[in-house]
Amino acid sequence: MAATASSNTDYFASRPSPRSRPSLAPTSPRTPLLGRSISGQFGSPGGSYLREQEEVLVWELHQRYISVGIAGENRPRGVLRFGYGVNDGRRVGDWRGVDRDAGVGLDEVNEKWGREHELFRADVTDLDLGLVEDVLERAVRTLHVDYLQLDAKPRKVVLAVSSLLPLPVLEVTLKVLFGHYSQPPVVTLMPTPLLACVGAGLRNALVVEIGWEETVMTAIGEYKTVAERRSVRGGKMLVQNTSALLRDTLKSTTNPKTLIPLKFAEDVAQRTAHCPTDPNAPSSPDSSFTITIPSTTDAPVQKVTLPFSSLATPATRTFFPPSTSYNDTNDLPLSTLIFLILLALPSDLRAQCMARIVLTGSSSNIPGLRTRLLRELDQLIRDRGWDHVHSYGSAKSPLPLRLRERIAGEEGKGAPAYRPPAQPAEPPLRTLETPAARSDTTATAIDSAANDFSSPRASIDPATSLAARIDRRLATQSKNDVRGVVRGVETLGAWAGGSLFASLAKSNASIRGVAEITREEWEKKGVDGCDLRGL
Amino acid sequence: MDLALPSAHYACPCSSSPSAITSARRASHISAPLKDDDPEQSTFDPHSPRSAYNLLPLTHLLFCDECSQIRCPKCTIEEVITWYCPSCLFEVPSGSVRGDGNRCARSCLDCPVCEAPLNPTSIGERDTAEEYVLRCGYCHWTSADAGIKLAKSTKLTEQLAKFRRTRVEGASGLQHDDEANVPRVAITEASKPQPRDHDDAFGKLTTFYKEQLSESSDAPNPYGGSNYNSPTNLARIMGIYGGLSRSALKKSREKPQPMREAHGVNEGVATFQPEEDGDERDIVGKMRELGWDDLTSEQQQVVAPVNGDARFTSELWPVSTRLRTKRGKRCKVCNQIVFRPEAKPGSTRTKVRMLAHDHIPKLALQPLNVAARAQDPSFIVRKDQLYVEPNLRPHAAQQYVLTVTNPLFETVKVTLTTPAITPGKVKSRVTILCPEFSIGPAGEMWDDALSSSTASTSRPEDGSRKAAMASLTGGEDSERQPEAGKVWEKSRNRTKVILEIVPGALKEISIVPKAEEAQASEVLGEDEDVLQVPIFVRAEWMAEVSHPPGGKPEPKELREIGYWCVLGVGRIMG
Ligand SMILES: [Zn+2]
Ligand SMILES: [Zn+2]
Ligand SMILES: [Zn+2]
Ligand SMILES: [Zn+2]
Repeated sequence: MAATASSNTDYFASRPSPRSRPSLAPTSPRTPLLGRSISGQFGSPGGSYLREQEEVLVWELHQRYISVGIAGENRPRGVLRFGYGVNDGRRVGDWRGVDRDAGVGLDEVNEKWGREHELFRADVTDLDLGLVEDVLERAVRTLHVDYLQLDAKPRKVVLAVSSLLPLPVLEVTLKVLFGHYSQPPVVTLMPTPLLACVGAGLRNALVVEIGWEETVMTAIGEYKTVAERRSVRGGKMLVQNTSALLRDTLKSTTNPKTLIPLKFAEDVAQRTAHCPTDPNAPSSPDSSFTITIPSTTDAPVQKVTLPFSSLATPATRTFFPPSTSYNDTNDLPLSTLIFLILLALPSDLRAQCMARIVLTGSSSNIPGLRTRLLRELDQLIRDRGWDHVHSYGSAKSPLPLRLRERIAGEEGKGAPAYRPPAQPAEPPLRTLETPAARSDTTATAIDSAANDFSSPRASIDPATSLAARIDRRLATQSKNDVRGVVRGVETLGAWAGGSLFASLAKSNASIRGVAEITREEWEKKGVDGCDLRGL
Repeated sequence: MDLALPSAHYACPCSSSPSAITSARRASHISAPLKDDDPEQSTFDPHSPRSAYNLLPLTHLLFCDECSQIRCPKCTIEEVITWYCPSCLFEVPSGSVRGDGNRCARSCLDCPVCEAPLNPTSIGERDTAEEYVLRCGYCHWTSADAGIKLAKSTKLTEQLAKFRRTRVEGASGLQHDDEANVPRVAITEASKPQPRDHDDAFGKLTTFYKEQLSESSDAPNPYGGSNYNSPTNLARIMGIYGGLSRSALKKSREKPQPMREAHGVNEGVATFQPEEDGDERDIVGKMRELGWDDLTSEQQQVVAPVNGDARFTSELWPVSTRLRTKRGKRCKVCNQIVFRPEAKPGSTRTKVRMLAHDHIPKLALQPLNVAARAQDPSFIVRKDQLYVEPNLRPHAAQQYVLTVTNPLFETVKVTLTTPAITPGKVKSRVTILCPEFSIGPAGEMWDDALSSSTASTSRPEDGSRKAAMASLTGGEDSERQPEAGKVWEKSRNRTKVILEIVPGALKEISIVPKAEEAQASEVLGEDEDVLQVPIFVRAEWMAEVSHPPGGKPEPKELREIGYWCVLGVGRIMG
């Protein structure tokens, strides 16, 4: 869809596009099939009357899992977590995965720890793409056969990906989807933070996506990504901290078992992680908590007992570290990051976003996390205030300096040199020319960027005209418009947002995805033919 | 469970075809073993993690006779023939599969805790009305834990759906439409709303977006989404036929407003404030109180989407049994049917079944020395019968008999190639003493039995009676020595050749001390100590060309097929 270069089309129709055509020829008015009453478990009220139309499949690809479902339904039909199937990484007929824990022999600080549970890592330098393809191909096939069970009709696909999905992995994913026998005619790409925003019912939001290797904060204005920052404080760090806690506890017991498999650590984190909402609250009387250690069928049941309050430390240490324990820009606590990203936004957009903080991602439902996050942010704003921006000093805080540089345009020209995300030196705030600015310079620049597949597909600068334009539109306050206070909004999640988006896009031609790739284009040009700028 | 050694796995040629790589510039990222166009030029590495996805037992492979090629799950198209419930074996008509979410709509339910089937159990007292709960026979979970009691023991799924709807509606009905910025009114413990229900909020948001779209977009296509059911669209269609209403006229003159954001619970929005932490405190308190076993595991959340955000096992909902399908398979290249089962769920018969087993030469490896022969683990059924993996001593040469069986009704010329040194970290030496030979045609099953009973199974090259006896009794022929270039044994559709294998050492002894990095790379991963021999098999034969009945028989045509076969030999001892 090279045509989308026509600068600022709203992804999610804010107004009818002049060229929008009737998406579907008037069908002969037939009696709509009424949703069967039994479908209550799955058919959502919204889904039932779309049934007679072609279905759109909604895929969500994550480092740790892939899920799929049908647009208009409220939940995915199937979710596959990598490394959890008994046959994952094994040949057909090799059932040793049934009663053996993979990855035993490594502790959580080891580089290879948990490798079999990740489809890819952010650092793609040593990535075996062929293996990624094999794993994805098996997962897509399994989901089709076991969970979708559809007939062989071609169906459109909406693919939700994290906005920082490495391009080689995206290419392999597209290849697997287009290569599958269900033959999707079109794949529409959508970044997960934007879908989380749609799934919260918002147009502007600050989406905090707690992912696996990193937590990505995205400021979204009018359905467009305006600014983005990230931190390595994510689900992986949480599970690593949980693993360390368990290892330390087990060391002192009579039955020292020092190696904790990822599956167990993750299960413990998933079930027990919590955060005290107020770190200074007087501690209530503590009680002990007993966890059953998974064992093979024959072994006697083992248990580990630890104080319940200690189960709060992994999450607290991960997301709200004491100020002494972090020191580089990729390692900032979530509340500081939110503050910094808000600080960089123009004032009306900032006022909107701070009242629309959306938490999403697999670790985002830890009890206490969201309240703690909002409280710390509230405190930060009280302490530092937005007016302090100019008196920040130069050397102490990295942000104002960067901001000034950017306004001066030092980083705004040309494609910024890419630094792999794993490197601590990477400034977490990325820059982006506005689509308008880009379209002049860039037929070639984009090509070269696409060829250098490690370069970021898009980068964002909050200080440019895109943010400013959005900001101007937000200047007039409408009814029910909450702004300027710290507030969170719940989201149904990226998948459900994708399902909403896809079911609306199906019936309204003016709604378009961030990038659309037709089968024809894919077969002719591969990933080079794809316009991925919005991603 | 162990690896069943010796083993034979086959790689479908589709995994090594150049189509596996779309753009050449990425080729450097794809690991070496499979990148070459000509599979004979490159070696298949059975230790590469990719091999787990490309190697299959012969029984899992199909064959397309149009393309004269092996077909694996990757290169076949699957089409559903029948949907059925594995629990009640009811064949679900295709029209209702989608609406039921691929789940049994009758009374089959699975335990949300352990996935075992649930059974309705009466708990009604004699004088009260009959009531039922669902009980798991395996883990003793009952639906009463989730507060679910049913009036009838039939139509369980329908009752459950109704139950859930009333519960959700009841919960959301209690909530006031508090505008987002107004802090929630203190709610008494009893009427405290449940956390926002995902499904309910999804429905409300969908409605909200649809209304917004129909208001904001100028509706170039009144038939747009074909949502005849949607109230807004119905209203609009009526408006068009009945003339424009005043407000609609006004709207059309105005510039279309952008879609606004959703507000309040009625539009599916829920908010949280920094001051409110009551809910979260309650959850933490409940976690502490209930303990480990009452917290849901991720597995329980993932296995059924409906339980996606249940935190406590008491919030888990019984899951309708997922349907299974019977599927036909077609060749992805030429669309020809290669497998088709009978439609009836109970039937195990097939209509079309093109197995690779019946179309390509099959390989099997056994040690020449009978004493070293391993038991086939699939025949071990008792627990006290221990399976011992065949162990190999490093640097000790061993001879193996490779039996190649021909399922075709033509004589087949076979060429075997193998790298002299096995790929992987442990380098073993492999020599095929006779890499080129032919195998006779397969016949009827009885031919085989008859011919073997007349003691002509083995026709060793020298034709000696002794060798024949030896092979009949299965005893080791100590006098006969394998010779290079000579077939070991030949029967009607089976030829045996000798493989000489010198297992490598797990740790190479080196005089020069190695750098730490080099040492780290020498650490063996799982199964890297298993000696596996990749062999490329090329078979050629003259096939009869099919001709119309009564037509002239056409001359035979040369067919050939090539594929990698990986033979697992044994585990090398450290
Ligand atoms: Zn294949
Ligand atoms: Zn059933
Ligand atoms: Zn159970
Ligand atoms: Zn074919």
